[in-house]
Amino acid sequence: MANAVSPYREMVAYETLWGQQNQSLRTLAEMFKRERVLPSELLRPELAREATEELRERVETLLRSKTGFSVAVHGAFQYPERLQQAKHPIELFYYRGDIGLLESSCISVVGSRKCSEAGKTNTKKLVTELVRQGFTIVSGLALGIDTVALKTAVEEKGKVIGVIGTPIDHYYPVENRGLQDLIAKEHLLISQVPFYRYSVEPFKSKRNYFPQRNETMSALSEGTIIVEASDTSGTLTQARAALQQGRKLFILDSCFENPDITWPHKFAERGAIRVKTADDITALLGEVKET
Amino acid sequence: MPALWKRLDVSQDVPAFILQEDEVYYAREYISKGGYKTSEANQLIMNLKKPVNRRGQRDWYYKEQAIDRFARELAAALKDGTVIAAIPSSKCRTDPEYDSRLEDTLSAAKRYKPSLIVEQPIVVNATSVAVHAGGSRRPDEIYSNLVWKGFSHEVHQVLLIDDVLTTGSHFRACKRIILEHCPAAKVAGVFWAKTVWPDPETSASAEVRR
Repeated sequence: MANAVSPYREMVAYETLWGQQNQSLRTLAEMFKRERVLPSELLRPELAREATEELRERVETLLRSKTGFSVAVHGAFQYPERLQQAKHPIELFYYRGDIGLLESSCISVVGSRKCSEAGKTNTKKLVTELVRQGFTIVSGLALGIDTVALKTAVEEKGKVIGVIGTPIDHYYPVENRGLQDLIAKEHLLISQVPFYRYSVEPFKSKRNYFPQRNETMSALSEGTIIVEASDTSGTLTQARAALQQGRKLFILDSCFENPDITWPHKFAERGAIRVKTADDITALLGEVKET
Repeated sequence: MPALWKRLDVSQDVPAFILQEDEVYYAREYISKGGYKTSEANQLIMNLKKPVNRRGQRDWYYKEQAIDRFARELAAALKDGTVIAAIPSSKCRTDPEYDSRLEDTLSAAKRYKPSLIVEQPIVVNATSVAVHAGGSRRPDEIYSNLVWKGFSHEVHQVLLIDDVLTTGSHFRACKRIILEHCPAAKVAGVFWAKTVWPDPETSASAEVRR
């Protein structure tokens, strides 16, 4: 067959590229933007760096022990093309569950790990209404707002997509192990984190996957809602990504009333929308996709 | 550029009757027992499989649309001169419930890419109960119902086309009969969708293992 890819081959190639010295999401994204080819084609001998073969073998040894997930490759059926609108698009990602969920109307609900009781209440109210209107809730499986958003959506019989900042077979935080398994089984769980690179890099650089995961969540969603966040919160990565990707950014009204933070006004000046209710949000988004 | 199909490899849950050496391709994942209601894959497969007693009804249009889409995607992915053949359904042609959706898809694909060669080397002898109605998934039983008609010319390579890959039993039976008559032929399978089970314990592989 002429137009076909082997996901396994692409996964090995992509993981090998990620394993090379000084490689980062940015350098990889730039390379793919320039070359417009599959990961396996980027590993062609004339393009490959030294010692790639030995690295590829190490990568393959690790990957052989990994099972229970699927691989989505840029260009193949069901890879969401809108991911390419991210500043540093991912060419490949791992998933468990129903990839068809990416064809539904997706909206991100994110916020701080350390959240207030009011933040939790607001999240529940908002998510319940969004689920009722048919939206799929996207969030990051972090403690705090993310967890409340996903749990509420599941309880309300809605659909969710969990995007994690660790490899797809890891659980972080461990408290969400049950929720993550449930999402993988009945909804959709996504990870862009390369197994091999993750297994050999120091803890400090592993943290970079969390903000990168936020950029992906934004790219997958029609809009992002921030319920609660401090001025230094990682959630703000997603706020920046949403604006950069041309997505709608919604900030809950209560954030503006918090005298301790300045970010809501800064983002509002750059185009974020101040909202009070789910209706304020859905009025500005397109119709929910239905058949 | 048309979207790429996926080759079945070790990174995926391999259906019960598909062997490591088999060359099998698919476009989308079809979620068994539901899946998201607006998932394109599930919608397309449901429309394609609309029962023939809906002919003439308003919703028949969706079946024709699905056939056309399948045909276009096939034509876009295949090389000029590729030999294609439909995996026969469990019903024989004289059965009133016989569904010609695959033959229709292949003819339509040939309209989109006239260099394609459509063959029909295998037909079904007697109507067997469809798998979804409790029929057999066992390749040897399916095989015993197949009748070899042969190719209209010498064939070195053939792509067997079907809508959904579940256990691979029909593919296995068809590949067997082709190789008995054309031992040197290369036989690959192309499916519009591959069934995935959200819960691995309910998968066809698990079912067969039990």
